[in-house]
Amino acid sequence: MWSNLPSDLLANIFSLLPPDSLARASSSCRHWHTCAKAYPLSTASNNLAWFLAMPIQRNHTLLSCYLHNPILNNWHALSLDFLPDPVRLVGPIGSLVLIRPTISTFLQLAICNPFTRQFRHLPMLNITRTKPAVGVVMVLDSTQSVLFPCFKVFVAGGMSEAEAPRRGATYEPTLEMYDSRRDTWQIVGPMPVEFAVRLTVWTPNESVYSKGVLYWITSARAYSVMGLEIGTNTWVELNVPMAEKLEFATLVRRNGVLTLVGGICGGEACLWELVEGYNWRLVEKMPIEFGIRFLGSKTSWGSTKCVGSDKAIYLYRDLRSGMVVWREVVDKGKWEWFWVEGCCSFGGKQVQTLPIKGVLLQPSLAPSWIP
Amino acid sequence: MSSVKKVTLKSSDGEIFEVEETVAMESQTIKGLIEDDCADNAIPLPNVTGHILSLVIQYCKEHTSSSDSNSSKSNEKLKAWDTQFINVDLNVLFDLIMAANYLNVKGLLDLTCQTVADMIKEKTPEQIRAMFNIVNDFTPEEEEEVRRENAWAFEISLKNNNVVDTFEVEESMAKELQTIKNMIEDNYTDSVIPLHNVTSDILELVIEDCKKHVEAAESESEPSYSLASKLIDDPLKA
Repeated sequence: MWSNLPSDLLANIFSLLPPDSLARASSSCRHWHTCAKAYPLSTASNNLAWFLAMPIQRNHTLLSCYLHNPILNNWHALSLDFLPDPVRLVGPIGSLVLIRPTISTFLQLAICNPFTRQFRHLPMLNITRTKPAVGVVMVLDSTQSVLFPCFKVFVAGGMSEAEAPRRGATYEPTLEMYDSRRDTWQIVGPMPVEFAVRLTVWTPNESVYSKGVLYWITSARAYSVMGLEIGTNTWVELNVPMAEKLEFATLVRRNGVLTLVGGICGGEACLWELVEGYNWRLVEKMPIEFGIRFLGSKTSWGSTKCVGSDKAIYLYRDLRSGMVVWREVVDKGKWEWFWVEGCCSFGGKQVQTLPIKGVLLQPSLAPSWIP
Repeated sequence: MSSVKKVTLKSSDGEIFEVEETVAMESQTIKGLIEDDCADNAIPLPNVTGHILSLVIQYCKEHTSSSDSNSSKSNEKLKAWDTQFINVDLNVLFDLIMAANYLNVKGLLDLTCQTVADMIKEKTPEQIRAMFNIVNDFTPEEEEEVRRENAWAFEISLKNNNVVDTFEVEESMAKELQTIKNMIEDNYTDSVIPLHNVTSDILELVIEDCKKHVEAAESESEPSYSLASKLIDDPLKA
């Protein structure tokens, strides 16, 4: 009876399940399994983004990544044995993850879905380069769906490979773009050299796309923000509040607005929003008790990392230490602070203290059509 | 006598139901038939048995009257009614989902689907199969593949309760915490009082807080509601 429930009704029920429950339900019989994989999870408010932690290991193949379930507040381990090469995390693309195989020094990109165990290299760039900035823009299409993700990847700056070995490879002041709908890279055009230099020397972390501009923040003091206006291919530079005093600074997007998260030397962690006229407005400070707990025995914010989705911001360090989360509580319509315990042991074995790079994504068990 | 329009519905097993038109129109399917003037005689519903149809009509009645301005049925009362209503065995639930879909009664479809989803949540595949009478029809190769894909969902990490610290505190302070107060009063004072749900760093903060409350009480100020007690008494939050 239940194993023959019509697919559309079953899909309706499945859209109400969080990813872990769906994974277990899809393991019960063939029909349920087919249905779970054919219909992607809805993006209803009950489907929050999950924090995925990829351990950073030099030259070793990653065996597992770790997932935090925001509803039940527990951790899962997800095997990455389907990846052919060791990789570094670049950033999220909806339900997919953009990764960079580490076997080559020059940039190569790939996408994967750790739940469906799909992996695919993107085509090679037109200009080979090392350490450029990489940014992702989701294309808001009327046909946009989890199964057919539409996105663009922008690569800016980097150092170009010299044809003959010579001292001083040059900075590559060009911008390239990958369009998932065409599965090709094209050179968009030139970019100002000073931006190419800055983006290469202080290779930034995740990009943030907000209101037509793709932003990056330099990876160290003195922090500054660079923005690429996609439509006009023009660059802007923004100052950062308290740039000299921040021990860490990250950009996230909160409810569509560019937000800066930073830790002040000897002070609190703060969040600023970008408002009219490229000004920053302080919107929130991390409550002191969370700051104390997060820092533990450390005296500086230096090793702090941060990621955000529109509805949540996570501050983290390494795998075992806890995280501080600022998240919108849907029932109350406001944002609240939470503490999340770190991931400590699995199956009776202790988890090592690994440095990690985190990303927030919407888990999807349905295989995407990755071209 | 009121001149309320009624329609006649006929179930698959020949049962006849006379229902007010407004109630029947909760079903988009029936609404369509009425609007297309196909409802002069009894509307046959070959996919729904009398038993299920009577339940659907009950649901529709309850939910139609709630939109009537004369009856002030609060959302909460309606939710409570729904919870009571949907407390049926799985066979009936299955038939209700099918009927709600066929008759296109959105509220009932949402309610039934959510109920099933809640039953599935947090169950293992074995428990799901047992509950819903599902046969595992995977081939060994398929089973292997499925297990590899979904293995992550079967195991979760344990909380870090490995560090065990003991704290010595004055009885007056410990009694600030209701749980511990009860233990003390039950003469559980011979050895260390174990607090399984609380890690040492939290316990430290809690003890600090208790200290402050005891000091405040001694200076005759009102003890405010303590976060600490909330932590101890609400293990889920610790």
